[in-house]
Parts: sequence; structure tokens; C-alpha cells
Amino acid sequence: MVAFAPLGFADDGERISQLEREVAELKRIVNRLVDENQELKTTVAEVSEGAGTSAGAFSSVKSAFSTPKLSIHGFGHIQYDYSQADNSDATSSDTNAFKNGGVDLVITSQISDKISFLNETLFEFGEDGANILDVERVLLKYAVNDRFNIAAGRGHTALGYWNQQFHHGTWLQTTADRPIIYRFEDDGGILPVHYVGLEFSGNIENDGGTLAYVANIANGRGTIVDEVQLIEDDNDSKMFSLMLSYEPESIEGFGFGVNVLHDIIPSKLGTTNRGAEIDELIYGGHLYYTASPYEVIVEVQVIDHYNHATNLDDTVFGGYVQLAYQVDDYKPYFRFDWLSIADRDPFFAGSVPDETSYTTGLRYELTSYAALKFEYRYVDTDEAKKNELTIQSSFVF
Amino acid sequence: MNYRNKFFGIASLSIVALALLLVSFSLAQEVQEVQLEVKSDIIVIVNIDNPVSHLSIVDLKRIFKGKRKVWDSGPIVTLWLPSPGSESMQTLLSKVFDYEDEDDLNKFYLIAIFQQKFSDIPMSVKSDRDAVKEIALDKGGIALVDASKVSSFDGVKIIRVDGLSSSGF
Repeated sequence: MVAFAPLGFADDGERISQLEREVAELKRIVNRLVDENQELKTTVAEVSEGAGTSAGAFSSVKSAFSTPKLSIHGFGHIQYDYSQADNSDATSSDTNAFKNGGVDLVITSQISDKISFLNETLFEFGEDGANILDVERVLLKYAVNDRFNIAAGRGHTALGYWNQQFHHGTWLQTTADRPIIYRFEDDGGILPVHYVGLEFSGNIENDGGTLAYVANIANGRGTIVDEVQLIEDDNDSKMFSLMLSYEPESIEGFGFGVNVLHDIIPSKLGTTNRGAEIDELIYGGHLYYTASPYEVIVEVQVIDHYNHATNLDDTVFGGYVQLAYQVDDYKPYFRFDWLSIADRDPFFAGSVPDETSYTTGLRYELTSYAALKFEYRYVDTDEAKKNELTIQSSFVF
Repeated sequence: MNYRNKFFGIASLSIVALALLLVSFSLAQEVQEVQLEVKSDIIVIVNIDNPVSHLSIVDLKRIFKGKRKVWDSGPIVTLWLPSPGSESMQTLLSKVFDYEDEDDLNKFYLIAIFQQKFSDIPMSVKSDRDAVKEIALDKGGIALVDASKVSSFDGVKIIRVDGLSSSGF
């Protein structure tokens, strides 16, 4: 007031006029500030939204969803293997080679709100360098609701944690090599990791956690270990399998479960002790904790074979314990594998040896979608003791 | 002239001038405060026709991780991911997924595709206002938005989830 209306104006009228002008000016200032305040409130709410499109990896466009939406991704890996073996016949051998792991294409499509399609095709190389095309998964899935989905085609059997979590892409798994018990059928594996038939799956929630189930009705095994019956069934019986996993909400990343499978393996006439069918019962359990930075996976599988040709029972069992710990881009890991084949098992004996291995390695994230793995394995089989080294680059695209 | 009237006239005008001066200073201060302190308020929005009225953090985890794909009322759940780098995205990463960066989220959905839990990576929006527009048109849609950045919620229902908002709702 003193600044605007100093005392001592000789003309009071002039002073009043001055004051009136100043009041009018102040009113204009106040009105302008009120307008700016309102504008700023709106602008502050909008300013970060007007920052433009982010160049992230996410799609930012909504499709009209009038046609099936196709998505293609894939895996690949290239590795260098070195192996030094002390054989049971007192000889030793030494090999090293670069290996092209091939390309694993995964095609998915949402055909409608409830129907989806998945195809996984592997382009790889045989031992003689010949190109091999393997259609590993072809699944058409109908999602009735969260508790019940039905799929038909070829997929991964409801058989334990690793078989459901990790498919053919090595980038998905921490280690360079799969556990012994989960080797693929054409790689000396003992489990029927692929099925051709139907899959039923779903999640059942309660306040404590989520129970997930997967079940199969499928063609079952062929007459030999590496045969997956794709277009016919050598016997009329079907394979049935069921896997249950429970994840409690109270411990994020923890889960456990069990699996059971029954099949009847066809007879193989002309082969000793294979003149009749074999009843196969597989059962196992798994436990995992995968909340970063920890990775703990433990699995055990037991295979019972009842041979109708000899009326004898034989048991095969195997499993693994895998531990890993993430530190920034580095993930050291260790795994212990074991496999014990009954000497007279009618299906595996002579084709699959007992095996124990100790694996240790380091996974380094080159980028978010490419990893480098350095792995050492000590392998003890009936035939040899081996020291193996693998350097693998695995990636997803 | 009556000096008493002049005095009161001058005094009144002076008081009015002083009052206006004080109001203008306080408004300037408020404008400054608006510029410096805008607290985010992360909420969940679903379509207005979605009967769901309550969601917990556990529910959000199940929905965004693909364990719950269908609303009880029937529509398929459609996930709308927040704009990369936004407060809503940071809340999704930290409170729902316990991730530190968006690459981890992208990897999660990639792996889920290979496990046939999703057929593609969920769509993302450019802004919180766009999220409201999309959810208003999408019967099964769900998104996290920052309510402080949205002026209109037409067509959507707001669900406040305990522990989600930084303003402490």
C-alpha cells in the first residue's frame, strides 16, 4: 500500500485515481493468474502423455481382429563341443567340433477369441549333415474357460516340470544341455516327451494359490525308444498321463507337483523278450523355486515296466538337481543328473546306458535375447568316463 | 472535500489493493506448487460393463501373468500394457511382476508364447488417456493407468487396488 499509494500526494483526487488504476491492474493480473492456473492443471495432466510413441518392443497398434493374427518367433543356437573320453575298453578318445544347432521356428496365431494355434518346427542337421525337418509341436487349442482348455495335435507330454517349461529352444533354459532324463526320444531319451493326441489343461484358483493340471490321451509309445507314433498306433491302447502342479501365493516363484503316465508298449516280434506287450507306468515329482535371483529345480522320474513276455517287473529311475544364481548379467549354475537302467529292462536295456553327470557352467546375457554359455560336464557311463566342454551361443528372434 | 470521506475512500481502495496483491501472490505460489508436485495415482480400469468390483494384487498378478484369461462374466481378458517408461508401467513392473526393467516383462510374455499361454505379446497404449479410450471399447479389457493424467473416465470403471497407488490409497 505504501508502494502503491504513498502519502503526501498533494491532490487527493489524483491519488484516488492512481489507486483505482492500480486496483484495475491488479484485477487483471489476478484474472490472468487464475486462467494460467487452470491451464497448467490441464497441461500437467497431459504433458507426459504427449511425449510421443515409445520405441519399445511392444506393439502399440490395436488390430481390428477381423482375421487371424499371426506371430512368428524362433530360436537358434551354435556351439563348440570338446569331449575327452576314457573308454571302458582302456582306450581313450578326443573330439572337438563346431555344431550348428539349427533353427526352431515357433508360429502362433489367435484364430478367434477362444481358439489358438501353435506350431514348432525344427530345422536341424543329422549326423551325416543331412537337413532334417522335424515338426515338434502342432496344436490347436480351444479355451473353454480358465479351468478347462482342450488341445489336439502333437505337443509335449504332461511329464514333469522341465518338459512343460522348456521346449526346443536352448535360450529358454539356463544350461546348454537338457537333463539326461529329458533328452529327446531320438537322442537316447527314456521318457515319451512328445505325444500325438489330446491335451486337457487348466488352472484352479483358491485364496492360497493356483493348482494347474495337464492331462493327455494319446497314441503312446512305438515299438522302439525313439519312435513317436505320428499317424498310426501300433496297438489299440492309448497312453494316459496327468500332471498336477501347485503354486502357493505365499511364496512367489515356488511350486511343486506330481505326474503319472500309463501306456502299453507294443510287442516287437523277433526281439528277445519282446514277444508280448509291456505295461509302462511312469510316475514322478518335481519341486522348483525360480524367483530371481534363485533357480532351484529338482525332479525325479520312475519308470516301471511289466513285461508280459517274461512276467517280470523292472524299474528305471532318474532325476536331476539344478541350482543357479543370477548376478546382474551372469548366472553360474550347477546340475547333478543320474539315470539307472535295470539290466534286464526289456525296452531300454542295451540301447540306453546308466549315466551320472556333474555339470557346471556360466550363462552370460549378451543382450536381452542372446546368451553365451560356458559349460563343463563330467559324465560317467557304463561305457566311458568323459570330460566335456561346450561353449554355446543361444538366441531368440 | 470531506477529509473523513476521503480518508475512508483511500483506506478502502488501499485495502482492496492489498487484498488483490495478496491473492495474486498466493495464486502464483499455487501455480508453482502445481508445477513441482504432481503425485501419481495408479488405478486399474476395466470396461464399464464388466461386473467385477474388486481386485487384489494377487488377482492382478494372475490376470497379467495369464493364469486368469476369462472374466467371470464371460469376455476374454484383454491385457493393455502401459506406455513404456510411464509411471503405470513402473508400477506394473514393480508391484505386479517384481521386475526391474521392461525387457524382463517382454521376455516373460515371449516365454509364455512358447508355452502357449499367450499367442502374442499383449498390446500396449501410447498414454493413460489412450488406455481409457481402448478399455471403453473393449468389453474384456484391463489396464493400469495414472489417474492424475486422465481427465475423463467415460466408459470405464475404476478399481482401486490396495498397494498399487503411490499416493497411498
